[in-house]
Amino acid sequence: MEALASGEAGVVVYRGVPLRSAADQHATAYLRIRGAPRDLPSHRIHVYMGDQPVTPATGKDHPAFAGSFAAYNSPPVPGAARAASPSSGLPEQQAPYEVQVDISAAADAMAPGDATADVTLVMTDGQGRPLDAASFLQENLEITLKG
Amino acid sequence: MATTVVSRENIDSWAPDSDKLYLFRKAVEGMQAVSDTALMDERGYQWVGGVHGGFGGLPYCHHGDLNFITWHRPYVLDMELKLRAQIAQVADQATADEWRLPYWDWGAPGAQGLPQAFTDDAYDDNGTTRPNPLLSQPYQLPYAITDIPDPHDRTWRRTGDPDELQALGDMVRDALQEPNFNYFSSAIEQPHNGLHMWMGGFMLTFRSSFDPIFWVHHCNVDRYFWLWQQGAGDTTSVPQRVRDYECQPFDFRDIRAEAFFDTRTLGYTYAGARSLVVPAEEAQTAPADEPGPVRLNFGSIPTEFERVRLNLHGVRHPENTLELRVFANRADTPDAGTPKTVDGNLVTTYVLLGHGNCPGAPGHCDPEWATGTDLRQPHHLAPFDVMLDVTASMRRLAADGRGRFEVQSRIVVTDAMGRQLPSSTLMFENSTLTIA
Repeated sequence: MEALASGEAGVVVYRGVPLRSAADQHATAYLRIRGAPRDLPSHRIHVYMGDQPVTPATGKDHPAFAGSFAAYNSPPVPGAARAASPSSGLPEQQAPYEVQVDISAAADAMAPGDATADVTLVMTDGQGRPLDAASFLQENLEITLKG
Repeated sequence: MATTVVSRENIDSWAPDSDKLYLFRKAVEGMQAVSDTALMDERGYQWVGGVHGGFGGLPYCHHGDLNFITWHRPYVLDMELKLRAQIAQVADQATADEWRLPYWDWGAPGAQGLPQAFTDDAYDDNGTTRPNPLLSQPYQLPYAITDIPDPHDRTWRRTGDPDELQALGDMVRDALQEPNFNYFSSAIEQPHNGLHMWMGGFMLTFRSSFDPIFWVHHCNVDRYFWLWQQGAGDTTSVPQRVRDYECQPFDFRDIRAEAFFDTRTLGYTYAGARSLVVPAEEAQTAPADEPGPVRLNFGSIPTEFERVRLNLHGVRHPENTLELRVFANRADTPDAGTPKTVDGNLVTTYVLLGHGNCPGAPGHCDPEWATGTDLRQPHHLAPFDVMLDVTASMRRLAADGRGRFEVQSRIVVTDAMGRQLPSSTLMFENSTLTIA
């Protein structure tokens, strides 16, 4: 899988995202993003399938739109205060987190036998402004088909 | 003395001038008054709000991990108990005992934005117009908020298009169909996140808990957890590390997440608006060598109701077919010879079909074999709930009561031939009355 900054603020294109059949029981096809950062403010990500050009202004009516999700997040607390936290050291609260977004309709429309797909993510903050997508560049996406 | 289990209600069912809403407002004011006196008093609004985002360090709250929905349950409960403590001062202890946090059903089909109780500028406090404490609350902690525009000294919102709530509702309905906890947890967190985004303002941040709307929002998320537990959810799929996780920083006797799984033990349910769930004060089976009935004493219940259900929880499948003959408020002890008639104070009967002899090797019919990671359907002999509609019988018994009446139920257990069996033949965990 290859992650590419598109040149458009807030937009990242992933080529060759692997498709995986579900190993366990669930009812929905998901795009799963592991290792999402916690050091961003709350943000919304729109997911588009394919490599058609999209921008932060592209909406849900676009034919490539597959789903969206909101990450409820908080910027990191400055170092001294972090160290003083009574709850510091809880691994769940410091580790990157995992999100999954329902892309069932788009997944159903894929050609049988496809092993990979191209995915474009568009990130905006709570005020609708593009976020620095470079901080989200990582290579840990996969699509889990219905089980 | 039984702990009364009261239903958390949809805030849309509370009239603008209802006592419950008035008490909610007074309780929030009271908690903030505690904080005004001592900022770090744990009974105060600022302390409870601060728990979520932490006190200058990492937050206590859980998001983006499997402790999300299980950690927030005791958090909402902690708030509810502190609100009730304030209500006890404004009203009385009995009123506080019956008050529960309402939920805002933002995922319901046709949901049209915020409840009016949270958007009104002011309310009538016995003839005095006061600012609505559910509209906004101060933020007084000395930790800077950096991720939303000013102002930061008071909560504010900037809500989205109400039509967007429909998409969140669709996500909720999909999530509730996920049998496996790992998928459910992430799937239900998503519309929860979306609601925070939809609300804007403080709700975009980990200081969202300072906005009073947070509590009815998260009460609703807790209701989704309850619905999952009652519905498609395979509760055995909750990982052990999630069950054992200690939910900090709450002051409960047992803070392992699993201790909060059964909401009836926490004093609340979501089993229908305006319903009351009353556990049996006494659930007693006679000794094995005595053929007496099962004794269920529920104490006194209101005479005004629309429906009453007698529930037996965790009933084990019997090997042989049993008939349960449920009587109530008889002066004597019923037995297999007691007429199965209304005049005999029969409430209802129920037949438990026996599963017969086990055809397999030892352990084949033991419902305990399933493991936490087993993805198959629950064992067909897994304990289940028997729910008996006893409305008509309770109406007859209530006719003699004045406001409340005592309910003492006796269950005679017989075999298929009508011969009385020891009451211990009927194996169940506990019993409740659901009154709506």
